[in-house]
Amino acid sequence: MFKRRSIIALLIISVLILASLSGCGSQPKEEAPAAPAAPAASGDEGNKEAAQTPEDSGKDYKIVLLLPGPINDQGWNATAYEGLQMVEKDLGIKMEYIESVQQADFEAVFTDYGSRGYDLVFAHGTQFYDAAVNVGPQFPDTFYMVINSEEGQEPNVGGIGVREWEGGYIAGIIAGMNTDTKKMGAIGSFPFPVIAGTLDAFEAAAQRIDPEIQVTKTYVNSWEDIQKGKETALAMAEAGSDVIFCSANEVGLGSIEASKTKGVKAVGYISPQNEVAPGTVLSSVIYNTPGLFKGTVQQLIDGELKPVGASLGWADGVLDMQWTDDIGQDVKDAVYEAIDELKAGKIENPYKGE
Amino acid sequence: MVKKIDLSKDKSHKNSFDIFQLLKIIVPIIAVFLALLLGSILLLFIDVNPLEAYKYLIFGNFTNKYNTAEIFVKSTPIILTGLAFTFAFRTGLFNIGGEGQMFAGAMAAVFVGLKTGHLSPFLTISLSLLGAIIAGAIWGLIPGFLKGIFGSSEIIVTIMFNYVALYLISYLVDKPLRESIGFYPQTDLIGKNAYLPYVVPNTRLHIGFVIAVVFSILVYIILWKTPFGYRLRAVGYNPDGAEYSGMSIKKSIIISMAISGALAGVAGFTEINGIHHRLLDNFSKNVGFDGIAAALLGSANPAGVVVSSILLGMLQTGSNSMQRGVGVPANIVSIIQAMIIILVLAGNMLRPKIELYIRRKEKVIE
Amino acid sequence: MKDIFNITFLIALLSASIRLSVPILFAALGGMYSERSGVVNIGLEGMMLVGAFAGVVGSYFTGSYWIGAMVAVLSGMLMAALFALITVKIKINQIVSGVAINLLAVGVTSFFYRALFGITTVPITVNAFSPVSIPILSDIPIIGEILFKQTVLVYIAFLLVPISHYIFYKTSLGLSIRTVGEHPMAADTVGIPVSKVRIVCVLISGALAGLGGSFLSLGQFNMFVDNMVSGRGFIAVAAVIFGKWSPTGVLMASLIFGVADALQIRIQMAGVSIPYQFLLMFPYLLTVVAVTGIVGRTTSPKALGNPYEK
Repeated sequence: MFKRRSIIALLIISVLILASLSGCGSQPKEEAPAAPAAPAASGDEGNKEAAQTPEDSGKDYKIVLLLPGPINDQGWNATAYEGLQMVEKDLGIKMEYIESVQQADFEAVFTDYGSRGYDLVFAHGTQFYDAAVNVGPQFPDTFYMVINSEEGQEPNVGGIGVREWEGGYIAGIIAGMNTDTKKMGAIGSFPFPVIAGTLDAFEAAAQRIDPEIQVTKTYVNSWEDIQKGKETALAMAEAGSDVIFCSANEVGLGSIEASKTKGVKAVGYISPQNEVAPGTVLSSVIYNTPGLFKGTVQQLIDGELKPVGASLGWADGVLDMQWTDDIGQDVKDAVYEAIDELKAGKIENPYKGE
Repeated sequence: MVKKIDLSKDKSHKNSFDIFQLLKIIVPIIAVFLALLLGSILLLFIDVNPLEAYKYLIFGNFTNKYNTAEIFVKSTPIILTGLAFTFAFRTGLFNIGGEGQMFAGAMAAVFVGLKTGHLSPFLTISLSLLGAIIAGAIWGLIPGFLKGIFGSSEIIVTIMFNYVALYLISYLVDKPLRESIGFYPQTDLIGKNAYLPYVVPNTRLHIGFVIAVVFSILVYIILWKTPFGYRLRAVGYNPDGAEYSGMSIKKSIIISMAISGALAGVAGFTEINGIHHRLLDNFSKNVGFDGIAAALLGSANPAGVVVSSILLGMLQTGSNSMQRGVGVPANIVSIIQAMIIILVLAGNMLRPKIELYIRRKEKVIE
Repeated sequence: MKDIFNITFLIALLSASIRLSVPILFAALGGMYSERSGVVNIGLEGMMLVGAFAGVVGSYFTGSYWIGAMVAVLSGMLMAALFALITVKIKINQIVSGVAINLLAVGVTSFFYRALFGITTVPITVNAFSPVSIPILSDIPIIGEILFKQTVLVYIAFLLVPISHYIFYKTSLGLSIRTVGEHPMAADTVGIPVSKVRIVCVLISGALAGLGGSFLSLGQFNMFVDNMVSGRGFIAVAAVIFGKWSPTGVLMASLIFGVADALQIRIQMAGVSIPYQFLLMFPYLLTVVAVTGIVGRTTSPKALGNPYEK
C-alpha cells in the first residue's frame, strides 16, 4: 500500500514538474529570421521580374493547388481542378495539385511550399485561412490565396470569398417558377453557415416568387453518401415536393436520381448537371471557379496580386447558368431580373443564423 | 531478446548469432522494399518515376529542419496511443479505443484551455493535461467496467466508443462550443498560455514529444518495476492463477483500462495544445490505429513503441513529401502506406519462423 | 405532420428502411460468418467499397449488371483472401489488418477508377438493376408494396438469412464453423481444419460484403462514386454484434438500423431538431447496450479475435 501511494505521488509530482518545465519554456513560435527583403508579390512589377530568373513569356511559375478533398467529387474540389486545367490550357502554365490535405498538415504544407520558393499557393477552402495567416509572414515571396475566405493579410495572404448564397437564391427562383405543388425540398451536406445560408437563400427566393411555397430543408451530413441523398430526396418527393435542390457535392447525384425516379424536377448546382438526368434537371447554377483561378494566375503574371480579401457573387462573374433547352423564357427573365438585383446589392443575405 | 545458443563446439554458431540480430533489422527493410516494389508498378502506370518518388519518401523527411521536426510531431500522439494499447495488452486486454480516448482527452483539454487559457502557462497546461488524463481514463474505464461486471468484450465496446466520441466532438464543435465567429465547425482557439511551447524554434516540434517519451518511461517503470504493475501483468498472463492468489480480476481490469485510456487521453492533450489549439472535426485521423500498429511493431514494450512510432511518423511525413515533390496522388500513397504496414507486420510475425529455419539448418549442418 | 401516421407514409418509410438496411445486411451476414469462426473483420467497409467499384467495372465492360454483381463478389473475395492470408495464416492482429484493408481499398478503388475512366465531370454510368415485382406476392396490400417490389439483390439478401440459418445449425459445415469459433483447440483435436474453415468464412464475408457494395452502385444507382459506402461497413460490424452473431439476429439488427436511418431523415424533415450527431451514434450505443447482456444473453464466439496457434 505504501508503495502504491508513493507511486501515485511520484506520478503527480512528475506531471507537475513536466508542466512547470513547459510553463517556463521558450515562448511559442519565435519570429522567423528576417527574410531577405524581397518585395511581396503585390505591387512593384519591376522588382517581381527581377526576383525571378528572367525567361521568355512561357514562364516557369511554380504554382500549387491544395485541395481538402478529391478532385472527382462533383463539386467544390472538382471545380478547382477544372480551374487548374483552364490555367494550363489558356495560360500555358502547369499547376501542381495535392488532394485530401488534412487539417493537421496545413501549416506543414504551407511551410514546405514557402521554403521551396513557390510563387503562388492556392488553398481551396476557408479552413486553410488560419494556417495561411500563421505561415505566410515567414515566406513573403510566396503568395497564399485562400479560396472562399473573405479576408487577407499583409503582405502575402489573399482571399476570394464566393457568395454561395447568391447561387442558392437563383436556384430558388428557378424552382419557384416550376413547382405545381408549391412544395420543394432543399438538401444540404452539413449545417455549416455557408451551406445553411445557401438553403435559406433558396427558400427566400422561392417564397419571393410565391409566398405560399413551402421548403423542407434537411442535412445528410456527408459529401459522398449518395444513397442517403437519394433516400432523402425520395422522402421529400413522397411528401409532396416536386422540385429538389441539393448543395452537397456528390450527394446531389443521389437526389437527382431520386427526382428522376419519382418524376419530379431538380436544380443542378456547382457542376453543370443538366446531362446527369435530361428532362429532370431544370437547369444548373454553376460556379465559374475555373475562371477565378485563371484570373488569379493572371494577376500573378501581371504582378497585381493583392493581399486582401474579396467577396464575389454574380456581379463578378463567378456564378453562371447552364440552361437546358426547354426552360421557359419566363423563368429566364425572372432569373436575370433577380441576378440584376443581386448585382446591384439590393438583396440581403437571408441567412437566418443559429 | 535473442537467447544465446550455447553450442560451444564450432564457430558456425557465431555467425548465426549475428544473423539473428541482423534479422531484426533486415526483415523490416525487406518488407518495406517489397511494399515499395509493388507501389512502383502503380507509379509506372501513371508515368511517375518510382525512384524519384521513393527518394522523397525516404529522404524528403530530412530536407530541412522543419520537415525533420515534423517526424517527431507526427509520432507524438502515436507514441501515446501505442502506449495505451501496450499497457492494456500487457495486462491481458485489447484496448482498441485509443482513438476515442484521445478524443475524450482532447475534449477535456479544449474545455480547460478555453476556460483557463488566460492563467499562467504552468497552471493552464497542467490543468489541461490533468483534464485530458481524467477524461481519457473515464473513456477507458467504462469499457473496462463493462468487461469486469458484464464480461462484455472490451474489443467491441472500445470500438463502439470510438464512434461515440467521434460524433460527440462533431456535436460539440457544431453547436455548444462552436467558435464565436461561427463560420466553421470548430471551437475558438484556446488561450495562448495553454499553447505548448516549442522545443525547436521555427518548427512545430512542441514539448508534447518530450511528454510522450516521459510517459513511455513511466509506463515501463510502472509495469516492470512496481509490485502494482507486476500484479496487473500477472492478471494478464494467467487470470485464474492471479485470482487464486488473491487479486481481484475485476478491479485489475478496470484499473488497467483506466490507465490505458488515460495514456491515450494525453495524446488528445498533445494534439490540441501542441498543434491545433482548438477542437475540430476529425483532427489527427487514424492516430488510434497507428498507435496499435506501433505497439505491435514495437513488441508491446515502451522503448519499441517509441521507435516504431517515430518510424511511422517518418512514413507519414515521407508520404506527404512524396505527394508534394513528385505529384504522387493521394490514392497511391494510401496503397503504399497500407502495404508497408501489412508487410512490415507480416515480416515481424514471420521472423521467428525464419529464425527457427536457420537454427534447424545449422543443426543439420553440424 | 398530420400525414405522419397514415398508410402511405408508413409504406414509404418501410420501403426506404429495406433499401437502407440491405447493404448493412449483406455485409453483416458476411461478417457473421467470419466472426463465428473467430475472425474479427473490420475490413468489411473496404470489401464493400471494392465490390461497389468492381460491380460498375464489370457492368461497364460487359453491359450486364449480373456479371457486374459477380465481379463484385469475386473482388470482395479477393480482398478477403488478402485479409485471410494476413490474419489467419500470418496471424497479424485482426483489427490492424482490417484497418489496413480499408486503407488499401480506398486507394485501390480511387486509383483504378481514374486509370480506367479518367476524371469526368459526370460519373460514368452503366447498366444496373431495376426493381422487379414478384408476381402475386407484390399484389398483397401494403406488404407487397414494401417487400416485393425491390431489386433482385434485395430478395437475395433476405434469402441468405434462412440459408445461413440452415448452414449454421443444420449442416456439419456450420457445426465446424461454430466449433472453430468457440474452441479451436477442441476442433483441431477432432480433426476440423481450423485454418481452412476460417479462410472459407473470411472469403464468404468478402463475397457478401462485395455483393452488398454492388447493391449500392448497381442496385440503387448505376455509377460508382468515391467513398460511396460511407461507413456502412462499420455499421455492419455493429449489426453483427447487436444481432448476436445469429442470422435472424443480424437481420433484425440491420432492419432496426435501416428503420432508424429512414426515420432520421423524416424526423429531420418534420423539423424536429435532435442534433444529427446523436442519431449517428445510435447504432453504436445500441450495440454497447446489447453487449452488456442486459437485454438478452450475449455469446460472442469465445475465440473471437484470437489467432489460432497449433
